[in-house]
Amino acid sequence: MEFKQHVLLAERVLENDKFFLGVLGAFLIFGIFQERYQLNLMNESRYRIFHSLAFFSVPKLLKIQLSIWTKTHALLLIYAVFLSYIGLRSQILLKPILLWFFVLGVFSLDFILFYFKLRRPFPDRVISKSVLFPRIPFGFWFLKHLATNRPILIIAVKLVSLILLNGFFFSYESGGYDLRWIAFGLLCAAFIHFPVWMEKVRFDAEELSYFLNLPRSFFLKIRQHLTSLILFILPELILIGIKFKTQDFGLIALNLSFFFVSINLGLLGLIVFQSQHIDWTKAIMGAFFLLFLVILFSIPFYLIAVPSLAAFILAIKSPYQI
Amino acid sequence: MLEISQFKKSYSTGFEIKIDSLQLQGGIHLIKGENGSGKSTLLKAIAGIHDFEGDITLEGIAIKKDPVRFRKMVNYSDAEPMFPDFLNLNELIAFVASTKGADAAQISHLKTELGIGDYAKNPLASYSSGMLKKAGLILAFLGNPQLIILDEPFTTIDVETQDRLKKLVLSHVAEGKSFLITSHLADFEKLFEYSSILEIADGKLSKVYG
Repeated sequence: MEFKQHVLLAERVLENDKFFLGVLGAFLIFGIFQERYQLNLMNESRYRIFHSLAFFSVPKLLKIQLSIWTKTHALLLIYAVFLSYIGLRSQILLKPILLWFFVLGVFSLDFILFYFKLRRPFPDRVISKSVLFPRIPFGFWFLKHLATNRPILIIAVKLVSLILLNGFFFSYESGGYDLRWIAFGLLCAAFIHFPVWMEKVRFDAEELSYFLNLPRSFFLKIRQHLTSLILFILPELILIGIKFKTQDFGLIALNLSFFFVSINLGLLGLIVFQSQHIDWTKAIMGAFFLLFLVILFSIPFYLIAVPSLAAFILAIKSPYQI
Repeated sequence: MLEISQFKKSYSTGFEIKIDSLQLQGGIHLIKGENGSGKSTLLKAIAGIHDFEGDITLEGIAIKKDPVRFRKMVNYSDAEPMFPDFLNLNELIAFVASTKGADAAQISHLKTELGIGDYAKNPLASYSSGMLKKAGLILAFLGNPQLIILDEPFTTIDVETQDRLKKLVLSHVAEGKSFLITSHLADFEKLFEYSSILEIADGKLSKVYG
């Protein structure tokens, strides 16, 4: 947006009560998420040392937390300053004053929670076992690891991927596009999963390194990787199924699902190569544009899937690879 | 010195530690027990890290009533210490020293005693398990604690540091400080003259000696 548009939007926010409440709500929601993140982070063993912040006097602790808070809320504070400036210029004073009282209130609440968190003992780290699935199959381990240690990553990736894919389906249904448009959407959605597959490669190499020692057949490895991957991309596969649910489109849904699974497997394979100190970063970026071009030139999806599957198979073929 | 009453800590797995009453005078106290017997759980509760049912008082100060004052009198070294990877040991020491009120002379003395030296400039992410243990130990001696809890202090550190640590513990005892030490090593009982030896098994604590 241009500066003029920002000014117009700020004036609208100050004039309209609902917009103004929306800004306050955004501030509060961000503040809650940020505070929850900070407090949860302190529960981790490696950050438990900061429990001794409790020994500081209240003014010193206030200074420390204010410094952290202003940095983590910098963008919102800058916008609050901007709104105040526009308010002063437009002679709307009540709302900027209310805004700064609200900001002060959010910080006070944040500090009170932080202060009492430091006074109390930290919770024990207990992972309870599911009653329905007391034994977690190997293929589910990665998902369990993500759910335990990277919940934000799951939420962020799934949210962005599904919103984007839904947008592609929405424009496809409005007409004027063919299936290549959906294929391009699936390609984008697959690359949104990039950080998840990076985490999987790290998890396999570091936390599952013990299993390298065990005799595991090539087909067993394929099955386990496929289980982990399909479990994670299941929401997108369901979305494809819902959008092409009629019998006439059954084959298309199958074709697109196979295409999406293959691209994700290929991406996983490329990240494995990259982790082995081969500079495949450019190759990964290149793969995106190459796949985009082959989609554009109407190459059948099953043919596009072949090199992706080859990259995956080559990557996990080695006995030194999970 | 330390009083524990109606202590109970239970987990959803069914594991439970119960101590009806325990009084410990000053000196060095050894807690023995098998792996997973609950030694670390008990020590973390005494250090004020994790919550529990019941009460613990140190020199008349109850952890439930005055948690911050209580915790300031207790220093703790974990069996497997973990710290933020992005810090180096000097930064970590500076932070803990500011919270516990340790001066530069004490830091320098402890660094020499534990053989840490220039390695403290390196980020903690690069530390071996032995160096991480030394990092945890130096933090446990900072300030002026009344009780120092050392969970498996002699595992993973080299023989020379073990000797230095023993001398350091004895010098602190001479200054009137008390220690709670755990170990499952067989020859550990001969290392110090303990005021008491306690054994934890099946979630129950019993006095073997003292």
